[in-house]
Amino acid sequence: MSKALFKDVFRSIIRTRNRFLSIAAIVALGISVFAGIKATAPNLKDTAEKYFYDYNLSDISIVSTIGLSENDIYKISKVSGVEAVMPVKSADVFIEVDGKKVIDIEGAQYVCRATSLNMDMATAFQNGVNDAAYMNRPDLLEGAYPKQENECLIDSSAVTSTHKFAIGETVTLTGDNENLKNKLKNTQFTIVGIVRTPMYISVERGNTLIGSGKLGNFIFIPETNFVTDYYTHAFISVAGAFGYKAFSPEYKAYVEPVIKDLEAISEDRVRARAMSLSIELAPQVERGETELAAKEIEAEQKLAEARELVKQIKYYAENGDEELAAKKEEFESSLSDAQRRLLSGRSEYNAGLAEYNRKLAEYRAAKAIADQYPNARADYARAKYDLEEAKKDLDEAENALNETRRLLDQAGEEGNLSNYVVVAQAVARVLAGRAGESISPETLEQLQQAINEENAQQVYFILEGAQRALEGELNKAKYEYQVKEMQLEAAAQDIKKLDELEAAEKKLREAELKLNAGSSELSIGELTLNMRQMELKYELTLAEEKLAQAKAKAKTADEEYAKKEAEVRQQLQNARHDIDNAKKVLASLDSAAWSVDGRDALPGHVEYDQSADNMTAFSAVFPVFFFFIAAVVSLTTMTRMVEEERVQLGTLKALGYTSGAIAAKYLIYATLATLIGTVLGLAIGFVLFPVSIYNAYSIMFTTPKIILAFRTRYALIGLILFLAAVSSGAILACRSALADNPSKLMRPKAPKKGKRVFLERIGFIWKRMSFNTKVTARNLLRNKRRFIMTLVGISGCTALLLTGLGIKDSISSISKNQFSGENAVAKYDAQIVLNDRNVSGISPEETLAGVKEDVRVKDAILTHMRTLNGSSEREPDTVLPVSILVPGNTEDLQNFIKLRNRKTGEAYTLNSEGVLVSEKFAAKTKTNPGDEIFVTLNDGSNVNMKVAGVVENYAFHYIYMTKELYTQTFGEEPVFDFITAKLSDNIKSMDETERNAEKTKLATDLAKRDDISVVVYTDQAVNTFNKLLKGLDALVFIFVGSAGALAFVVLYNLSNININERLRELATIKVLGFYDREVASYVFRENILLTALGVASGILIGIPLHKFVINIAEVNIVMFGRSISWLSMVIATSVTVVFAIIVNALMRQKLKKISMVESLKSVE
Amino acid sequence: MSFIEFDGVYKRYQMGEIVIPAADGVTFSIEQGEFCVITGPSGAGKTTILNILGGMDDCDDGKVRVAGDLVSGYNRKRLIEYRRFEVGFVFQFYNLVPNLTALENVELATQISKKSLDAQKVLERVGLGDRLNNFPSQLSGGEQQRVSIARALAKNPKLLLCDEPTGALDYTTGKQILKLLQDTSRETGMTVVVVTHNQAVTPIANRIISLRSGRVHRIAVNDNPVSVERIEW
Repeated sequence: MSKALFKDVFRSIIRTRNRFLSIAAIVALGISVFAGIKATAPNLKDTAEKYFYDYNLSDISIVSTIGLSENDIYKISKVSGVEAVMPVKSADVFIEVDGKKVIDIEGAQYVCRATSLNMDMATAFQNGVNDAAYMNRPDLLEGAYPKQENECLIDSSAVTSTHKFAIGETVTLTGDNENLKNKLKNTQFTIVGIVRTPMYISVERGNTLIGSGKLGNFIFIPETNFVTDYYTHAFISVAGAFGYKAFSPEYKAYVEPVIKDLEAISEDRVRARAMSLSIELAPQVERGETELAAKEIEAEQKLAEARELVKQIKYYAENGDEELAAKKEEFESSLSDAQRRLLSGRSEYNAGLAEYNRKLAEYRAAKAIADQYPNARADYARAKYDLEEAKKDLDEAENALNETRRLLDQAGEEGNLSNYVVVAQAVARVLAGRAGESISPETLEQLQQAINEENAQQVYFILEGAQRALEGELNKAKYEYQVKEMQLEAAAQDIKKLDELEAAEKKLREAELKLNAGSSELSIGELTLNMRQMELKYELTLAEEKLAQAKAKAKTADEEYAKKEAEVRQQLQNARHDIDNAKKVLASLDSAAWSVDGRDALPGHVEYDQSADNMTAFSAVFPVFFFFIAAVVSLTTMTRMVEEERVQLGTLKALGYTSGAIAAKYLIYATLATLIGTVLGLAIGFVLFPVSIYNAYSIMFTTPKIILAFRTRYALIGLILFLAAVSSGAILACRSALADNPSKLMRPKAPKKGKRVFLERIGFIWKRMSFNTKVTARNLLRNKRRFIMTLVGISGCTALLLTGLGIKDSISSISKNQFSGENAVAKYDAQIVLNDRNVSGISPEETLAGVKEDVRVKDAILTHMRTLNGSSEREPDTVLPVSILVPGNTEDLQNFIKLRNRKTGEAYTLNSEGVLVSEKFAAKTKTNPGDEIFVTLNDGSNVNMKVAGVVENYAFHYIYMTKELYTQTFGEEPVFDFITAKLSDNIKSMDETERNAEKTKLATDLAKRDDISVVVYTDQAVNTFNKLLKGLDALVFIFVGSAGALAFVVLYNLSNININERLRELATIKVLGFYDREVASYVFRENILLTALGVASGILIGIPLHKFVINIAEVNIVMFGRSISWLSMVIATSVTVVFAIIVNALMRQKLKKISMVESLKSVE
Repeated sequence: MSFIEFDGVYKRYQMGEIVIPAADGVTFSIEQGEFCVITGPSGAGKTTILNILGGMDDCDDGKVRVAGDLVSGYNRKRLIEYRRFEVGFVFQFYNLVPNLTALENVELATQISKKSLDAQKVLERVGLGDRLNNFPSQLSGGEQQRVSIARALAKNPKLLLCDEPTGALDYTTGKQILKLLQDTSRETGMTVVVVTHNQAVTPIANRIISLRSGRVHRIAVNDNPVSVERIEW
């Protein structure tokens, strides 16, 4: 090829870069879809394989119904082919957080497998040691390994739990009717790390023997926690097994012989173990029984005592108030008495003080006065003496007088002188006594004379005179006496003053004493009062506290008692369980066996493989479509290009270039475009598709990030295919042109023949069509190939969009069809989990009655649910976990679960003729009504059941059977552990916030009851599902993206070609004066019609395509809704139309730019 | 004022570094109802002038007036209207839509103008009354050109422009076409402008404008145009 021609190629690439890029784009699109989807399955498998290798997934696992002893482990390790054995102890437990039981989204208690982690091995692994014996290693995603015994690592996925576990939380493990202390040292663990492990790659964790039968998650705890002396699992790694590709049949064949060998030794080992257990347990059981009986009696006694105590406390609490009030009053009154007394004491004191002061004043006054008479006493003494003297005088005088008088009188009476003389003598004597005073001696002499003379008259006369003198003397003495008396009085008064003073002093002293006494008394009184006050306050406070305490205690006394009672009963229960469990073990010894399984038995293992394989199936169909489009688009484009360059072709031919050389240009053009497209497509496809599909699947699987390997094989295949497609298009395009002789090529191409459209033959339609319509009809059909291409492109776009949106519909409709829609399968709103009747003492029937009474519950039935593995004779390899559901009342079940066949619409009633199975289960196990299915019990035996009908169901698998049939089938009556309930219409008609509040309240109220554990609303399941399904958005996005890209490239390309072919025509009508919009509609009327037709056919194609994809992509546990919503159809249509409009808008610009002058110049 | 006035019209093309003036200061006028022929050697600028007159191209300088309206000042939209209602164009290579019949091709034009004539009648007038439903591929060159003329005439324009209408036709057919054009001009009083490099055609015109190198070389007015039958080449 000449240099000039080479230049031509590259210049034309640049000049027609839109065309070049559109081919590259369609190739990129096609190859990215092809290579991307094809690479997904191997990438997924490789990712898993690396995960298995890095974290040493075991090849074989052995479980024994009676555990494995050290000896067993030893014997296992000796089997040929066994590289290493890792024995593990585990316990399946219930789990609690903050005292609340964790429940799963179906309402059952969440079951957790506590698995032992050999800390030495784990540490060694962290330090880089790769020990083959350390298998099923945890992959630490967050946090750290346990350093202490009571720390644990928890499963990173807890999809079916209603609680999200986090690092730092403390979880409590409890047993299902067993005392965990028999197995574990600790039952409380703090989460220190979050892990995943290759043993559980699907979010399904498999089955368990406890609870509802579904295992929820796992935790790793240090091995030293286990106090049991046997192992529950033995994991085996087969030498050389990692040399085979995971999931491959070669691998399975390689491991199979080892499994067989292990099974061969199992019988002997089991028998040995059974023997040793029997020897160990039988006596323990006996002893246990007797001990338990004794303990039970003791317990009852203690409980009775406790009850009494409670009664007392309560009594005190109730009556304490009155007592306290009375006491308070008492205190208060005594206190006020004392106060009153104190008050009066005080006032007394004050009075005393006043008195004292008064007395003091008086004393002072008295003293002042008394001081004026210092000699008062002496004076008084003298005065008294004087008075006495005076008295004496007086008396004497008086006597003398009286005597005299008497004598006188006497004399007078007798009248004789002799008397007078006697008397006179007497008187003279008397007077003599007084001579010198009143009686002068002369008188006396006279008297004497008279007497001597016996002058009676003289005597009388003198005596009278003497009497008078005596009287005078007497008066004088009296007067003197009075004076002296007065003097004495005065002195006495003075003395009185002194006396008064003394008295005052005395009184003062008295007052002082009194005062002092009073003062100290007062102090004492005050002190006493204060002390008393404090004392009383203290006592009162004490009493109040005591009462408050007592009251508080009384409140909780009942609860505490109940708690204690529950504890005690629980302990007794535990002991009973222990004995029962031991008995069970003893009973199972005869039928004990090992279960030796390869990796297929691991939950999710087979599903993962299948999902990857599904992608392979997918990749067979999907990319073909794109490939086809790519081929035809490139053909059309190259054809156009060749046509445009006809003249040049002819010229080159005329110049003598060979056809090969000329064709080479187009080949190079096409090849380069393909190469660029391939590079781009692979870069995008190898990343985008595997990652998106992985993300979509990550809702079901827990694996490390997907490995993106460049799959050279697919890259090459894709490249070759597309290269072939595009080049053949180029060559085909050239061939017809190159076949013509040069002159023909250089001549203008004969104008295209007008063709009659078939519509024209239908006269009456054709006549009625408007001019524009006729033009459009002609234009549409003039190039059949392009017509079909555009139609295919648009319908492909619509179909893809519809499929993508339809997938989303199907998946989101799971929860709608199952739970929330009007015609949903499950019409109940809540699952109420019942407590063990042995613990609560209340029968399920009673609980049901109680629940039904609640006005917030519209209706309720008892149910029993149990999950086992199920399969059918036809497809024994397909084993699915299926939940057996038994209603308490057979007729009522249909009010809660719709039992109808989706395809035929037939409604079933549950009876004892057979069981009803859910649709997906039936489909997967190829079961029809009338066939038999079986479930596998924990001991490995199968139980057969006859299928009476297949019911519509979208989530999980169910077998419905009557309780009579259950009893007949399993040989024991079902224990009803759930109540399935519908909420009242009242609650359902509330608005969201109100409704949620009511529901929470109802759940709390019900959970308070002894017989009810917890309430789970179906809302929770719906929410979980919706969260799961968000992952599928990525997948949908791929569809929409591809659809858009497809539509765009195809439409753009074809419109471009369309216009280029008709440049002349379009320029002509522009000259004719067509407005821009008229020119546009001239072209686009066809496009619009094509779009309409394309959309319609796209929908017709999309519906079956959607069904196909759904069937492939469906995962086992759910059934996707099969229908596409109207909204999706509308969206698919609108989006396609939008893409078409965008292309039209771009073309519009092109039309505007058509230069009339240039277009009409060229000779063609 | 003349019906058509060209006043110092320039049209320059930039080809890399070179500027080529296709029209280099063209000035002329044409009266209404005239049959005007624009001649000149190849590259003289005849087609350029016709394109500008027909509203398909714009000029870089100068003024173009038609019936007093300043066509050179028209914006894009006004130009479309100008072409739509006032101009009829006949191309050298007919430019019929191959997918439409003769009648439909003419209807294409009549659809867009309110004052257009009846398509069928116009086709009959050009003598194709019995070929209405034939596709262009079923018509001879002359018949195709007649359809093209019918299409232009059916619009009832003020101005009929023809770019080498006989270029692709043989002598007899060419004369037929020219006669049709002349008759139309005479009978309807339409202004017809024909561009041709065939000098022999000039006698039938009322006005002959000769272009050379983008300029008007000579304008000749012919008071006695000859009938088409009389000319030979």
